[in-house]
Amino acid sequence: MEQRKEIKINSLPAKTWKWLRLNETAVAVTEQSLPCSLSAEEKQANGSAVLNIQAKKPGEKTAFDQVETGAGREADLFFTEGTGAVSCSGGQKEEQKTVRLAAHGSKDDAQQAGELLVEAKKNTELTVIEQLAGEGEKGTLAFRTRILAEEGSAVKLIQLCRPGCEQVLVNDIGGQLAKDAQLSVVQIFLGEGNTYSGIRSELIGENAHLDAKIGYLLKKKQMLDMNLIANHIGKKTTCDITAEGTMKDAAKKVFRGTIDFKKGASGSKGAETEEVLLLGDNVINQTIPLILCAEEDVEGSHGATIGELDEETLFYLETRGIDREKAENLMARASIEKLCHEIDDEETRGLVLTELAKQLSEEIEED
Amino acid sequence: MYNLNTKRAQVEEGGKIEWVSGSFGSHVSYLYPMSILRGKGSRMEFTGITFAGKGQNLDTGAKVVHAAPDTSSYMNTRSISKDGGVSTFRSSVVVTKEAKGTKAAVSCQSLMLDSISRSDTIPAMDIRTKDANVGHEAQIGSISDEAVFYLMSRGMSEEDARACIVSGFADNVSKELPLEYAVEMNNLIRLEMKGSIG
Repeated sequence: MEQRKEIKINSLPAKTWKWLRLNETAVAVTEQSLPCSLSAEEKQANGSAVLNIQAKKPGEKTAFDQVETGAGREADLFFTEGTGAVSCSGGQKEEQKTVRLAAHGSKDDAQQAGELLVEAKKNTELTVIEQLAGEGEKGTLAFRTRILAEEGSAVKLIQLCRPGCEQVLVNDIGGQLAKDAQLSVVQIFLGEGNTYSGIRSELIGENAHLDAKIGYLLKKKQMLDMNLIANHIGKKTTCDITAEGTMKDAAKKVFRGTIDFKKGASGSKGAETEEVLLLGDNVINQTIPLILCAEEDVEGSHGATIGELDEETLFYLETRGIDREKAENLMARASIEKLCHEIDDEETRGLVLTELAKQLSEEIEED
Repeated sequence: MYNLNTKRAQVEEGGKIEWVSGSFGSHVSYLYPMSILRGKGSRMEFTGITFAGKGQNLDTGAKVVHAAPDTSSYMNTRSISKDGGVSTFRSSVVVTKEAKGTKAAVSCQSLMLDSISRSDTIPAMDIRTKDANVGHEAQIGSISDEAVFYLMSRGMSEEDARACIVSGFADNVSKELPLEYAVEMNNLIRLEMKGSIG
């Protein structure tokens, strides 16, 4: 029997009262992870190619080791020797390079891990589409995406997370952005299992920008635990974080969002907004949005709206013949569909809509 | 001086607790009045201002537990950091499963007057019923050069212009204070802002 150890992930950069149990989250990890099922393909105008998977070697060091991630250093224990990693790099702007990756766990109660390393060289662009976990999977799947974005580069990361009902997904992202680099993250959480998600971006160079858009639909006893950290280090760096979703039944969600203006980050701006629609009688919604500031010339803001569907909207929809249940599903659907506009890839968009319709037990409307 | 302070209120049906807090003087402060709204329709209001100057670390805010139906709470705070002062706004809003029809709003604004100071905002919310309406907004920023320029173009010195903007920033809170405290607070801001240029 493998020994399990408890580690703390998704830690807040500045702690609050312990009794709120929001400072970090505990997860169990075994000594050795198995490689997850990983496939990756690179597509550009002149054709496509399958990307190689390389097993992590003992004591191996890479430039990506310095990239901190949202889940934190303790989550490194998931990515043991032998787990697979895929590397990719950006292409010239006119090439429209896209990497499509799928990482899946198994039907057994095993701990599996995989990783994607993204190196975006100067003035290159890359879109990465990740599909993590899937229906019927069990055990723990840990997947990490680390990004090094050089000057003027742009990386767009689209994630569709669908853990199986008996699965735990640990989805960890870290990015380091140089001057004028941009990282855009679109995350959609559907599926039935529990997810721990972390995003950490170090906005090091002047004018570096992070844009994170998150959408989720949580049902039954599903749990989503998020930790977003935007560290503004360089001058005139910007970030825009939006999280929007619906919670039904006895779902639980923790949202930690931190905008940290370090000394010297003059002219920086950061904004985060959160909207949560509560539809279940036993939901638990925990939110802690932090703004940490050690610089005078900055602008930071946060806004959160948490509650059920307001009576005015409901009344309007009812006058149009839409009953309460349908109206609630409509709003839940809208928060995810909004994110579909950010996905250029038709296949992924279709997949999101199909999964969403399945989750909401609705028929897909024929266009 | 250390100001390590515990205040707690239990509010019964139809009752209201109102906290008005001004933190200026101590070297280190940890001050978060807690309200437990355990009676139907009970209410809580917290109005606070913190001015952290040289050598000061003022960690202030409020805690509220909504434990009964139709309860409401409102927190409104302003923080100012200057000359290396550290101000932290820390709060928690807990809405239990029983607290149906709860309304809660938190608004905190922070002003940084220089780059050697620090201002942190750490608000937490824990909502355990769907029948609640909780809103939160926070802003952090500095005195805008345009506003200072505008006031100077109307004949004010830069020092007076900056003091006027800081007083205006604190105005929403200071008008909630009893008159003698409000006068003291405005005097204090004027004194603190003296010699802040250059």
